[in-house]
Amino acid sequence: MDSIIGILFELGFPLLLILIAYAIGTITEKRHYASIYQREKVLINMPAVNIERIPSHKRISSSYMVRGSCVISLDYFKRVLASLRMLVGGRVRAYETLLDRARREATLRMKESCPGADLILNLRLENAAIGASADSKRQIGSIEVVAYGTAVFYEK
Amino acid sequence: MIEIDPQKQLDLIHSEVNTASSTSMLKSFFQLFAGITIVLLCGFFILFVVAEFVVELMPATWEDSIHETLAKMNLESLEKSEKESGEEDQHVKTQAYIQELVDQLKMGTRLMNAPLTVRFVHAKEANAWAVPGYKIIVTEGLYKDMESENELAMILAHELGHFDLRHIMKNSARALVILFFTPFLSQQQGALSICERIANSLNTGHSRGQEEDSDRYALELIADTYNGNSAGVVDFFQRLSQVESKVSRGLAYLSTHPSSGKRVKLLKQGISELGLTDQGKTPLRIKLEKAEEKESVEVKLKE
Repeated sequence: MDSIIGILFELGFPLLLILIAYAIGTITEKRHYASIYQREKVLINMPAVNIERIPSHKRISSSYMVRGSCVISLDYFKRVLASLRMLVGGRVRAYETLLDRARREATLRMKESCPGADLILNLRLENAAIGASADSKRQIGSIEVVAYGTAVFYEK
Repeated sequence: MIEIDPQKQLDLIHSEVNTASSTSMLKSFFQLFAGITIVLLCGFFILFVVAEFVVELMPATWEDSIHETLAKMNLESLEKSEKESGEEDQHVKTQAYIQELVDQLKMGTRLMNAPLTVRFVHAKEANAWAVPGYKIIVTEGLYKDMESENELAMILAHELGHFDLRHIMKNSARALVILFFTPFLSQQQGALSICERIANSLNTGHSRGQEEDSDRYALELIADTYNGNSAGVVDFFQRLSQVESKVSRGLAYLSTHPSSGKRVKLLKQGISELGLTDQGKTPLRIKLEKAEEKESVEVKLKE
């Protein structure tokens, strides 16, 4: 009985910290997604595609390379969750939102860097682990996603 | 360019299919946490039981040779303390006195022929502990806190109990289990942390049990050696329980030792069970001057 109470004591405090981290992480993520949804709505008329040629005969006034990048870190809760998941295998839910947010944020920033563009061609997305996590194989900490492509402005 | 209603277009895309909701993540976390905790708990429990069983079966000669090997590992720190305590005449005399008490106590036990040696060390902290290699360390602080020979004998008998009940061997076996088990989890920090905490809490709980067993052993040994005289056996713990804070009593579950209050209660219970009687205390043969300021009397009687 004493041992069980001891285990509850030992695991209870870190569990509490993890739950606090979960609450903070969830609030941060929800806010970020709210911002992503809102900005995607505004920029929906600027298609970003991965084809290399313009799919119309419209005349181009100018074109240049644009890029957007962002670095997003895992919160403590997700880090622990991912670490536990890696022990038994399966869908690593913790990393999914991290990568999704990073890709969408980078794409949005790329679009925001060329206001008024009609189209972004040849979209490429690249990601890399950075920070302390880059030289440690143990866990992913922060991820950088770079989105780049060619912004095209049609002649009006 | 065809203008499209942004809301309509966004409605067609279900971007959330690529991600998990935070609720599902929490659910997933608790499932994993509970599963891993149960597996580790059962795993450690079984391995610990097996390890202790092996120790129980171990012949005494093996135990002696393991003690010898472990003693060599601790030699450096012991030599240092020996040098410190070897300087003063008073210290040598006190050490010999404590050694005499230990030799007297070990007669009639399984440890009769074991090379039990006492090291009396300079330290303000009141403490006594048993270390591999049949060595009992007693601090100056503890000796100064003793008010009678009976109290000191009780503490020495408690330490003898750790050897006789093979607590040192059992704890070493448990430590080996942890040592072999944890590197497999070193890649997964979260799981490693759970693993360490479970092992730790199982060990602290187990250690409290060992302390209680040792107290009981000491009581029986005192009864045998001093013809059923129970005088002074609870005095030291009684004094400790008076200064023990409520906080430390509340956090007893995290401690390797039971609270002094609980120890007093169990000892008193043992005294009445064994039918021991108070036949008067024997004063200490060598008196050391007590420091004026009372040091923290948070005493641990380690293995």
